[in-house]
Amino acid sequence: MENDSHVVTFAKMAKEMNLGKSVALLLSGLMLMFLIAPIIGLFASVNFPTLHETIKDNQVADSIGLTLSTAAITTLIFSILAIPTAYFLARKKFIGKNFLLGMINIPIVIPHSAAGIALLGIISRQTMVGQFAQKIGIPLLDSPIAIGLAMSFVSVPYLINTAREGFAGIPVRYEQQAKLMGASSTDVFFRISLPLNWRYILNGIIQMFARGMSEFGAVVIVSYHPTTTPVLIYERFTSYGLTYAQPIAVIFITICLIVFVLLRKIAQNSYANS
Amino acid sequence: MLTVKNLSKKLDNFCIDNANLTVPPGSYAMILGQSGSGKTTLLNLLCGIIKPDFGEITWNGASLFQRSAEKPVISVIFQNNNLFPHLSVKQNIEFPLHFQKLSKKERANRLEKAINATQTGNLLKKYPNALSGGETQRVALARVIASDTEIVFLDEPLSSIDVESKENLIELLRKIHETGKTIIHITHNVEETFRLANYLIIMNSGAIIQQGIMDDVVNHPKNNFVAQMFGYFNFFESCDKFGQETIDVFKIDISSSPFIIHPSKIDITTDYQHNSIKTSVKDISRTLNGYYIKVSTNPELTVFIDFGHSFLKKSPCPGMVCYIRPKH
Repeated sequence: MENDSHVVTFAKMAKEMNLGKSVALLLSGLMLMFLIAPIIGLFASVNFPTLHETIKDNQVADSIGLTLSTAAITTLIFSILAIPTAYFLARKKFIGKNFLLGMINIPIVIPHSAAGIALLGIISRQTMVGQFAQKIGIPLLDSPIAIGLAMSFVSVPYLINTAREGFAGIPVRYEQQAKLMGASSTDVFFRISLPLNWRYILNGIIQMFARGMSEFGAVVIVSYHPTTTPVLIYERFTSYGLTYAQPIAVIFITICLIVFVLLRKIAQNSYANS
Repeated sequence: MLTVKNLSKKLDNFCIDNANLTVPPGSYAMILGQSGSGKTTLLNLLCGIIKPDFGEITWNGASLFQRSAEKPVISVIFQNNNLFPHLSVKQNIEFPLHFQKLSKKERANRLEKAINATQTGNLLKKYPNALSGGETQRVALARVIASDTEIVFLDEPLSSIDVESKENLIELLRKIHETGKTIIHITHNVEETFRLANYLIIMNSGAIIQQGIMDDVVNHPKNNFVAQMFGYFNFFESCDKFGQETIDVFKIDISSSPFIIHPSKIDITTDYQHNSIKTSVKDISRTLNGYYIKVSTNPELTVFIDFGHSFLKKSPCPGMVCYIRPKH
């Protein structure tokens, strides 16, 4: 009798476990559907003759080239500033550090159109910076420079945060050991801290690049022409409607996916080697 | 000569208070103390990782920290080795050589010498995460040999490695010492101390209790703490409590103190012998080589008997009557 009651209890437990599993599966399924469905819908509803036409459209090709190259170049340039900043923030203790860490995240938390307006307040022709740039012949507004600045403004915090987290995770003892062997602070940074933090930095660079090339709000404020792809998609949508915006979106998403799969692959290979 | 004068450092829950130290050049000095005695804090002060609140550390008259990168004076192996995880064994051993002004030939010689001395030739391409405990220590020692500094600090290098590796490392440490280096080795292990040291520094609760040439410290422990460390369980600050019979039999000079007698220097039998004290067994504790027996004299004395001792024809048990006298 007693054994029977155990069997019943086990059966009940198994039933409950199955039920729990089913609920979890259902919830995860819904979540994933929400994320994937719009993309699949987009690819499914695209009109092939228009897609073909769009691929041959020079304006689209130019905008994709401009978006990818500007995002890549600014990511690389700003890495030179962001990585030492991240190291400084990870290793140094100073008054107001928490305040500064909060400030770094401001571009992420404010609306990106507001970020664009804030940036415009510095680089517009009325400002000192704008006037100086104009004097030496560098156009700031409506130029790849403006696009790069807007992209970086909203995306560089991702790199700083990720790299800082990585530096903070490196035990200080390795740096102390290197110093005891005669290494200078610069040696320690380039020979110990940087290579040990390579994974986090690479991850941060990928995040910054991704965030930069998909930026719309801040970019559209500082540069409508030349036009980046996110701005072009919006322009086609408002001027010609969904049918003409969808093909560019499909092409851009495909290129983004290819770029990211490649970058992840490179990152994974470098992890495996390190 | 490594000299430490009035070194003090107050940390959150610990302090090194007015430490003074002199280590003659070429010594193998052991800093012996239990965990929490301040050994590692002292090491961190000595190698400059933490700055003292007060005091100075000098090597041959000049501050230990006014050293040039090209010719560093100290090298350190910390408890967790600190082999750089992103560098191969070879790159780890070579690391300190990048900062010393050496010709290509000198650098190659140093590397070869370090690899040969530590027998790490078969590990060169490996990364630290693929090494065993003993191999890791050998690579860390190779890095020290390559540095070729006058002073080597070691923080518990023999803990947490297997017995066979330990024997190899002890041999290696002796060889490094024979090249004329001054070694300062931190440990809590008395056996390691006896096997390696010729100079001894004993620490407790952030203070240096006793220091000096190994034999002097071992034979003349300054207080009960040091005496117990070396198995001198019969250490008495004064002879006031001794009964007349004990004073007579052990020929104790009551005018001098302390009175120390090693447990192995006391003879114990179950039959009466001339000029001995009748007593009884109070407590027994077994060791690797025999027993420590506490006998009820006034005050209590501890006697060591080894397994070959005739006393063991009868197993010792509490209450057993026995006779003790000093061994001749």
